[in-house]
Amino acid sequence: MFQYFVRRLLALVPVIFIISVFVFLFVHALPGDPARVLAGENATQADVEAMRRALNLDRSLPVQYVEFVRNLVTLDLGTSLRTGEPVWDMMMRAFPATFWLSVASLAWSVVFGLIAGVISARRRDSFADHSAMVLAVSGISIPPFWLGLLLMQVFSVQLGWFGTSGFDDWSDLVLPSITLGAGVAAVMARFTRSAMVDVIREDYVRTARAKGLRERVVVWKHTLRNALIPVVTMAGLQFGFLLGGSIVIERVFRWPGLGSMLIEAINYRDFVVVQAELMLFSLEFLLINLAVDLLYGIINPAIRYR
Amino acid sequence: MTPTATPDTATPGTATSETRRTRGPVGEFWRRLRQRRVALAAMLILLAIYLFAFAAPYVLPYGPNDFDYLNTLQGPSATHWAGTDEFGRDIFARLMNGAKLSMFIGFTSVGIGAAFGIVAGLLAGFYGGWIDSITMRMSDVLFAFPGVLLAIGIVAILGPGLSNVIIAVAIFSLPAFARIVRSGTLALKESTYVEAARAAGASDMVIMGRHILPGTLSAVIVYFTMRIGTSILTATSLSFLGLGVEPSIAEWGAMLSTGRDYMLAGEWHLTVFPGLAIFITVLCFNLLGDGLRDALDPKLEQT
Repeated sequence: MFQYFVRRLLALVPVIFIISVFVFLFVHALPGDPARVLAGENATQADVEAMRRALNLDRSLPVQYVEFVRNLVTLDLGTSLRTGEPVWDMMMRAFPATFWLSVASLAWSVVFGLIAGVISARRRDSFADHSAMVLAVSGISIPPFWLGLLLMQVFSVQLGWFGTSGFDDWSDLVLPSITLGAGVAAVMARFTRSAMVDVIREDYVRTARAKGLRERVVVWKHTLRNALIPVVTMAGLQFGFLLGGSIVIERVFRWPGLGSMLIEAINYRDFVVVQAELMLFSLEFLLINLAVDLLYGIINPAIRYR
Repeated sequence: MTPTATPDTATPGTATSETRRTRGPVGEFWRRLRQRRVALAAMLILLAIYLFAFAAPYVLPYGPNDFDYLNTLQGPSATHWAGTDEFGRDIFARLMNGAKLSMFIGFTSVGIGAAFGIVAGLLAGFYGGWIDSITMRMSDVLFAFPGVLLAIGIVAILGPGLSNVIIAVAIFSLPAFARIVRSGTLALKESTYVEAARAAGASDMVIMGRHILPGTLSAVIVYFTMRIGTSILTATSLSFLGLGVEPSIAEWGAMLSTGRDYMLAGEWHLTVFPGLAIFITVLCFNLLGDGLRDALDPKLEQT
């Protein structure tokens, strides 16, 4: 297991390297002179030169890159071009909102998706199965921002049960997490169903039935447990996609998280913040994938020796 | 990855070998698709939407950008089927314009992604070695980003606008096509007929273009269809975030974005209809993709 862990970790190194180069080059990919772009439209020549020095843009590319990595490692992400606040502080302030939104969404959607998938697989081609799968394909196709607006229209504007923006109270989590989790629940239901359908045909399931075990034990213990291996992988991957989806949902609910921060930074051309956020999002995604891989190795010992 | 028209996959007894041969890949494809009623219905709905969208300028009394300050924020009625917006523009006419835009964005972005992906996948699978390593590492990195984030990053660099949205969506469609074609190429490269073509002196280009590429096309068609739904969702998301087309353009995501504030003031029709349009279109593309997959390439179901 330890060897497997080390191997997975080492495989991450080149990917992190390439991503860091991309994110580093991001500022240089801006059309025109980056220092001039970053200094703003009304900047004097002296301002531009000061900006160039402040961001090390007057040094050679390799030197700049080494400096970039050193700053990353020491968590010195620079200061916002707009407010002058350290980017790290801004991120730490926005992080809890995004974190709780993701966790709440993942929690309800995985549980709900699993149950729906199992019921569908158990009663294949029944009315329940067909309705669950119609709901699932709708969940994948519905624009998440529209679902959010619909929920807001009904539950906030008409019924007045919830607020329409911000994260001031735990009840504010309800609508955004339903919105963000809908797509995940749909994917989980479809995926669990197909994994269960595969496993349900296996010999050991037949043996379990032949032993006279109760149906509930056969389904929830013998079948689901084995079907869970691919399902856990999928759940972990979905967490990564929640990160991407949260950017849009945060915008709908004016959620004070990392996604809103990113969009605001892009709108104000605050590229120091954008750069830091892109790096954070990619690292988060990679680490989640790593965690999923490791979990997979724990559940299924065969994969460690590949 | 089986070629589209392998005779052994047709149901025995439904046709003689002669008729099967004259039917060709397209006929075979059509025959199998006809058996999927949901997919077929989805395709007809899409056709209807797009036909109407192209006919709209000649049929509807209002254009998508006709201002009417005497009739702003009207609810749906016989004259304005989906009501009017804050400038008195007819929302239905704007929706139809949005349909054309969504189709344009969906097909061009996925088309560009597919074209580059197919070439990269063919070269990587056929030549292997360093070309393969570089192509696959690049696609690993592109896969390492959630799609929306990647698109946002690209638009952040290039700036908002229609063509930049298309580029962003194309780039994030590219790696999947490269992988699909690469794995098909790897399998077909070793087949007897490719060996025979090589022995007959065919050049690499001819082998790749005429003997390997057609064999990977069924998987590409399936994925292309499924991808269009995702692309429309991503493009409308970008517009909703204010990173896509100009907010004044009649595009579904942009309409939703401006509609949000009016919705909070009680004007529900500004958000319900554009969202419904996206939902129906994406749903139909996904159902069509599901049907094509079942009909053409059952192996894809596992991925």
